[in-house]
Amino acid sequence: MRKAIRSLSRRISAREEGFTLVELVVVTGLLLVTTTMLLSVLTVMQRAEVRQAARSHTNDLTRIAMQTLTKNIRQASQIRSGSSASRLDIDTFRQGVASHVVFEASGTQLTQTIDGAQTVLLSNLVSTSIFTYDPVVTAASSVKISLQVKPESFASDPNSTVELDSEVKLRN
Amino acid sequence: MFTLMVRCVDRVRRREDGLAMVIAVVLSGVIATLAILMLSIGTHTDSATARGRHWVQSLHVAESGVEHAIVKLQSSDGVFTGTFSGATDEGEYDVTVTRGARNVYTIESVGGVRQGQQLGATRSIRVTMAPPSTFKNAIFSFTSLDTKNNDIIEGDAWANENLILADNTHVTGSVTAATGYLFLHNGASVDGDAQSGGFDAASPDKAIFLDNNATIGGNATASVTAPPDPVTCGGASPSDYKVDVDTGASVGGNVKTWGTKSGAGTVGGTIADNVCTSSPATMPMPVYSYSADNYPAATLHEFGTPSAPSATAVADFHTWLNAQPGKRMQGTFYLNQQTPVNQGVRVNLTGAVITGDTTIVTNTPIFTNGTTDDTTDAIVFLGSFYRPPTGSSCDVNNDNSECAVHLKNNFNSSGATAIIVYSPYGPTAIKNNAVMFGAIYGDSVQVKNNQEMTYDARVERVIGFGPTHLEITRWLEL
Repeated sequence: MRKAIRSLSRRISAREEGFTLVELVVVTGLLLVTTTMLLSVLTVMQRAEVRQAARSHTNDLTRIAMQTLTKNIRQASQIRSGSSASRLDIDTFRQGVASHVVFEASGTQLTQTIDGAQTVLLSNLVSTSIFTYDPVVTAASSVKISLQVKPESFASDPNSTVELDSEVKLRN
Repeated sequence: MFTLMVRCVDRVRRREDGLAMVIAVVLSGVIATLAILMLSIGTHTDSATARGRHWVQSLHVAESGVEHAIVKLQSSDGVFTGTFSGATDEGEYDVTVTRGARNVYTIESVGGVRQGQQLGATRSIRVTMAPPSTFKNAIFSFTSLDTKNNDIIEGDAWANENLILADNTHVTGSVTAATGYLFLHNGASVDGDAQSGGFDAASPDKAIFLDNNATIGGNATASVTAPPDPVTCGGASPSDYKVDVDTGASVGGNVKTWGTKSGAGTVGGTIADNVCTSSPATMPMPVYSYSADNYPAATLHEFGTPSAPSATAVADFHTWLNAQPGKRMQGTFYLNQQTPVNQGVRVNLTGAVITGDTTIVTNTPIFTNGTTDDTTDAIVFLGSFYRPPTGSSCDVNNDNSECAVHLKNNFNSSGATAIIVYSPYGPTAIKNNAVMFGAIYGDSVQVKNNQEMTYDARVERVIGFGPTHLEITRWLEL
């Protein structure tokens, strides 16, 4: 009799070490929900990080472009005819040497041409309308600059545009 | 049975504790990684912002240094040179001021924010200062300008009253008779625009008159001096303000007049009769003030001082000039002759040879019958403050007439030398084949006989003129 009871107890004990189907389903469900939430948070945070990094990088590039523009315009001795909202044609100085510099926005690029040699100053422009002249382009005493650039990773996101504005008074 | 159930629950709980730990570790790792990344981006943004701020601030600091130097220059009438340092709330600046030839000053200012530290910035500015821009016309007459016989004026001509261009005289710029009439004799020509503000009272129907074959390349505008209203033009009679273009004469541009266009000559553009326009305001004679500090002491010769006239100023000057080999001269000559001052006591430069920058400032007349130059780059300033007797006149053909400055017979200058003649209280007369580069500013001006007068921009800025001692002419960032 005691032997029979011990055998039953061992069987019961062995059954209790496993899980029922219901338990497994519940646990699996919980695991799925938890994993989904984790992945979702991870994805959002990863995207946010990439987005911030892209904005930061774009901000750096735009700052550099803005500094280049303001430095050249500040020293300009003349704004040539043909200048417009998307094109600035000036006689200026670079390291104390007289130079002819043209900044031109076309498509999504802002180019800089120094004495005939052209380089790309900034890419991914949102607008080519960059320069505003005060009081008029033919006799401007100051130039307002507005740079709107979209980080490359988020080209389709309208809220990701980086915008820097500045106003420069001509000194010469 | 109870014991078994407890053991079972314990085992299950232990297993669940292990799963929670794994999840917690994974989550912590993910969050920590992302937090580090976000913080690094934030730090970078902070650094970039700080660097940008310091970059802008350093320019402000450098400009503060320039302003400090300008204050020193203006307060010392431009005698300050040397180096100095200073600071603002944002940073420190180091400034060097040097004086170049012809009172051109260079200010170099280096502005720094957090110099030698992280995210520090330094920017350098070079500012050039020079006497204010004063002389912009080839010929300026405070009253009337009268030319005779085939003169050539390269530049603009301005008269506050009447302006008369003699036969075949050619002006390459514009001409303005601010309150008077404009008369172009046979074959006279103006390449630019022409404007008058009055009319010929002796022949009261012409404001602008182009005699046979005279030409105006640009627009011809017969205005009215300061009309109080544009409707009646202050009551001025339109019949006085004709633009008369004679046979063979022409206006290349438009004609606009309070009167009408008359004559058989042609007009290339439009004709606007009976249109009231205001003439340009008269221009004041630039005002000069003498200061010995403005000139190099080594070549400064004073014959009398502003406060102490000399009875022998002119005689002493001539003695000095005659003692120079070949009458070669350069430097600064200030003469304050004791009264009486007249044509018998005048500075005579006949035979002199200009060899470098020369400034002559005198209260006597200046006369020459032939002066030459031997320079590679020089500016000559002839300033006569002579006041002719009331009622007297200056005759370009009479050597002893009452001219303040009388230059005749080949006061030639090569292109290397620019000459400015300045006579604020008396007439300037110049004649006979002289070729001059520079400008003439006189109370009245007579030009005669094939005189060629070419404006030279080197005379635009002359020390002693202008509302301020110096003004900024160039701003550079290095």
